[in-house]
This record gives sequence, C-alpha cells and structure tokens, in this order.
Amino acid sequence: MALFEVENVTKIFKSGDIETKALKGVTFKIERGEFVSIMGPSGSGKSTLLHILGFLSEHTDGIYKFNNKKFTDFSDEEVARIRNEEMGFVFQSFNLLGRNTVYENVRLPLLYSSIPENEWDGKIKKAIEQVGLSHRIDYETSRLSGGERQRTAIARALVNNPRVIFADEPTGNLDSKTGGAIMDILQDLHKKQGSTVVLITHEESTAEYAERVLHILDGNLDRDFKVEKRRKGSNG
Amino acid sequence: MDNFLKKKMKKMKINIKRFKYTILTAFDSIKTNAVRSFLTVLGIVIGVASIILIMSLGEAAENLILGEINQMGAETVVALPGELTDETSIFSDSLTQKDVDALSRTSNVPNLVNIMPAVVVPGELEYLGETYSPAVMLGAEADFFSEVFNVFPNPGSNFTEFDVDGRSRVVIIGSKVKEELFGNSNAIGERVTIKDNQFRVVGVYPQIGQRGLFDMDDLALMPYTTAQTYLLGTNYFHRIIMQADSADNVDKMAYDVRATLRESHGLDLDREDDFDVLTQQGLVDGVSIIVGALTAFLASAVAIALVVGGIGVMNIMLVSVTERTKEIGLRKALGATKKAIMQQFLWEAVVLTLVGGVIGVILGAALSYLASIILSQVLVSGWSFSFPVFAAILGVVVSTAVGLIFGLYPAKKAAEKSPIEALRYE
Repeated sequence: MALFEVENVTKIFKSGDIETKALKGVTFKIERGEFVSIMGPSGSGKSTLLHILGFLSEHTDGIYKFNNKKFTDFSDEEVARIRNEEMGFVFQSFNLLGRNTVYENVRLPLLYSSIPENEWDGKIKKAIEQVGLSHRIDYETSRLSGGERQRTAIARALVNNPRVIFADEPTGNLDSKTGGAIMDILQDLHKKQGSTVVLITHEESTAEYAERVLHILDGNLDRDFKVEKRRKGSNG
Repeated sequence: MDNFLKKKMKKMKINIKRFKYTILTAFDSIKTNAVRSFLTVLGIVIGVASIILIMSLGEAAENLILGEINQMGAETVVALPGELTDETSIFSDSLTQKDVDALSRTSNVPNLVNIMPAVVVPGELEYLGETYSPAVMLGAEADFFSEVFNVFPNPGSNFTEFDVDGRSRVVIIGSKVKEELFGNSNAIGERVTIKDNQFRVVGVYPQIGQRGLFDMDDLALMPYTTAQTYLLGTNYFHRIIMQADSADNVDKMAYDVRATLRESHGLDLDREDDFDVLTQQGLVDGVSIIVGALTAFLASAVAIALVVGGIGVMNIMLVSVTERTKEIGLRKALGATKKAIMQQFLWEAVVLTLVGGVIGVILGAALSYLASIILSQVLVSGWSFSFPVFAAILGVVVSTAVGLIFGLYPAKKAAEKSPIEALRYE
C-alpha cells in the first residue's frame, strides 16, 4: 500500500478575477521508505505539490490519499496531528525562531504532540546529535551559520520521529559544500531509519541523491524515472 | 471505565503541559518586545492606577468626613431652621426661644440632658489695629461647651448664665485666635472690637483642635443673647444643639424633637417641616451615599479609559499577528492546531494586560500613598492612607477581562491563517 496516492490532482489559485492553474492534474504514487525528488524549474508547481502532500494546503480537485485515507476525510485536528507526528518539514529559508536556542527550536513540535514531557529531553538531544550540532545546543539560532541553521531545522523535523520528511529546496540558501553535507544527513536518515523523504529541488545534482525523480513542468507530471547512478554521500 | 479515566488524565496532563509552554511563550514574546509591550499596556496601567487612586482617595475622603461627623458625637441631635432643601436655612427664622423652651420640657423630649441654642456671627475681631476672622464666631452657651465637648478655658473662665441673661459683652477665644491678636501677651480682661462693640475676653481655650462640631482653636464664643441683640439684631437661632442621655436613644429623641417642633410651630399634618433634625447616623448615611455616587461616577469614567486601553491592546496584537505571520505558519506546519494558536495569542494578550493591571495596582497604591502624605501635610489633618483591596482585585480582574475580550479577535485572526500562505509571508 502506497503512502501517498495522488490521482488527477489540480490546484487553482484565485486572486481576484485571475485564476492560476498551478497543477493541471497529476497522478503518481509514493511508497513507504522511498526517497523521491520533485524537480522542475521555478513556477512549475513543484512547491505547490509538496504543500499538498504535506497537508499545508488543500488541492482543488482530484483525489489525494495519505496512508490510504482521502485528505478531504481528515478533520482539522487530525490534519494538525499528522503534520506533527507523521511529517517533518525542512524549508529553504530554515524558518527557525531566531531568538530561541537550537534546543528550543527542536522542542517546538513536541509542544504540540502527545508525547509525555519526561521523554522530550532525550528526543531533543538525540535529534540534535543526529545532525551533529550538540556543541551548539544552547546557541540562539540567529547566531548560527546557514548550514548549522539547516541542521537545526532537520533536527526539528526529526524530533517526533516522523514517517516522512519533506525538504523544500533545503540546500537553496547554502553553498555547495554545506549543501552536500545537508544532503548527506537526509540520505542517512533514509538509509539507516528507512524514512520516506520527499525532496524538492531544481538542481539536478541535488536531485540525484534520491532513488526516483518526479519532473514537473507547467503543472504537469512531465517525467517519472528512477535514478540510475545515485550520488553517494561523503559518508555513504 | 478505567481506560476512559486514564485517557482523560493523559489529555489533562497534555493540556497542563501545553498551558505551561503557552504562558512561557507569551512571556517570552512580551519580553522580546519589552518597550512596545510596555507602551501597549500603558493605557491599562493608567486605567487601573486611576481606579486604585480614585477608590483609595474616595475611601480616605469618606473616612475623613465620617470621622468629622463622628466627632459630632453619637448623642448629639441638631435642629436647623428651614426646610432641608432650603439653601438659605441660616437666614430662616423658624427656630426661636419658644422652641428651646418647648424642647426643654421633659414631657416633650424625655431623653434630653442638655440643650443650647446657637447663632453664627459673621465678622472679625479687632485688637489694637490687628484684625482676625476666626473659622467660627458663635453665640451660644459656654457651660454647654464644657459639658458636651469637654473643653474649659485656660486661662480665664466660662461666661455664665447671668452673662447670657444679661447679654454681657464677653467672649471666649480659641488658642489660634489669641495667638493672632495677642501674640504672647495676656488676653484675659482685654477688650476686642466686634462690629463696633467692645467685648471683654474672659477665657482662652487651650490648643485642643477639633472637638465635636467645632475647631476649638479657631473659634470665638459669646452669649447667644449678646450676639442676637448687638451683632445680629434678630431673635431667632441658627442651630439648636441637643444632647441625648445615650446614643441608643438618639433616634427616639430626634423623633420627639421633630414632633415638639412641629407642635411648637403649629404645623398641620399637610405641611412639611420648616426645620431639619440631624443626627450623626443620618449624616453618615448621607455622606456614604454621596461618596458612593461620586466614586461610581469616576469609576465609570475609568471604565471608559480601560476600554480605550483595550482597543490599544487589540491594535498592537493585530500588528503582532501580522508581524509574526511566518511564525504562525511555522507552528501550524509543525502541528499546532487552530485552538493552540488561538490560545497562544489570547494568553499573550491576557498576560500583557494582567501584567499591566498588576503594575497599575502597584502604581495606583504608590500614588494614593503619596497623595495621602501630601494631603495630610498640606491640606487636611486627619487624612489617612487606605488601600482599597476591592479596587485592587477589581483592577486585576478587569484588566484580565480586557485582555480576553480584546485579544480574542487578533487571536482568531492568527488561528485562521493558512500555514503555507503564512510561511510564504515576507
């Protein structure tokens, strides 16, 4: 059973009288444990697709099933719970609370979870260790470098042990070396923990970390192919 | 059943935990924007401080007035001429010697132990070119003062019944009057001039301040007959002051006084009193009503100020919601429900106004204390500081309510933001 099932999904943005068709009917499935890149030039609709997959926005038409249940059948509370417990998000612009420490930023998802408070500390420290940031645990994130910030964001995405991690251009604001290190962490998660990773990127070199590429062009699924020669991480 | 309870307990635990972090987040956010937060709640601070100040001053004023009334003595009953609503009662001529005689009859007013008619004389005393107008110049009886107010001239002595009957031009003066006219030199036996009449000073009251109805230091006292004949040219009284045998009988005596005066004045049933009878308790009730009404009026003015302050809070909360759109989007993306976001902003508003309210209470108390020091030293002796506990509780409760009410709309706005649009917001 596929984790994500997308069937003829469309998305129309309305701004006044102007309608923009961002997705024109895409169909695909993503299995549990897959590492998928969604590629495409900017404006192709790849971010819109990720937002729909990540329960961050609603699709206009078609059927989207998560875990074999239609998105439209989830209540507001369930949507919030799934975002919290089953999904982790990593954004291009990090989206950290700059005045708060690494520890506090990573703790954020736990505030909204049903995990008992006495388990928090262990989970937070473990997640921070996984991204190699233990030495910065009490730093305010506004004082960190770009790479360190993105590591914090990944730790935050990991802390609830989600089934799937969404990464929206995670290397977009980083230099290639730092970006490579970030991609190594994501690949590691996929390999060692079997996490499903959905990555958005417009760089081919980044997309090649994945097993499979969904290529979006002008709101349509243009190509869907397996990556033959996957990039190996420096530690993989 | 057990399972159900366990689930409930777990949910409760989670809610308590969330609440803790909601409050922490609220404090954090207020601290980050400390200056703005302070300016935002300034309206609340001033509003609550005003409540405390008004209530405190009102209470102190009431205590002061009640204290003065209490000095009248619980056994004292005063009859005034004219109707209660008649502002010119001092010039009314309804109280005469005939009334005093009628009231003095035991069969009419059995509880009466002392009675004294009195007239108020406007004007000043003159001695060797020095002039001074005392707070009260009174035509009355010296013995009554000694018995009822427990005040005796020293040096000198009281003028007597014979002086009253013989309309003697004699006067007893208070210590302040003596000081102003005579300085350190002897006053007894000296002659002072009041409206072209020479009066012999027979006594000086020692410095004892307020006793009963009068400030004994700033007073001149002469026989009422003398005052009527030489200074006023009238034969009626401005006051008839009476003392009952006990405080418990004051109401009964006031009733008897009224009945006697009505009979003495030949008033038919359909005619209203042409006099007024005052007792301490009656005055206390009157003052409480007036001060209460005044306080309520001022408090409602403050309530308006608090509403205005609340609008200020709402305004800034709306700005804050817009500014933190991205943070809201992030929290939602990380699993915050609408309810959680709503609670966060609502509690932020409540914590803000609650802190404002507490600061307001402290500020108000400090200002009231300061005011009480200034008032007691500069204006009125006997002014005391009183901290209005009720107003403090009211202030804190109201400011919290203001936060809840005016935080609701911004919080709702925050909760309804779509996560992705919020995340995209720059």
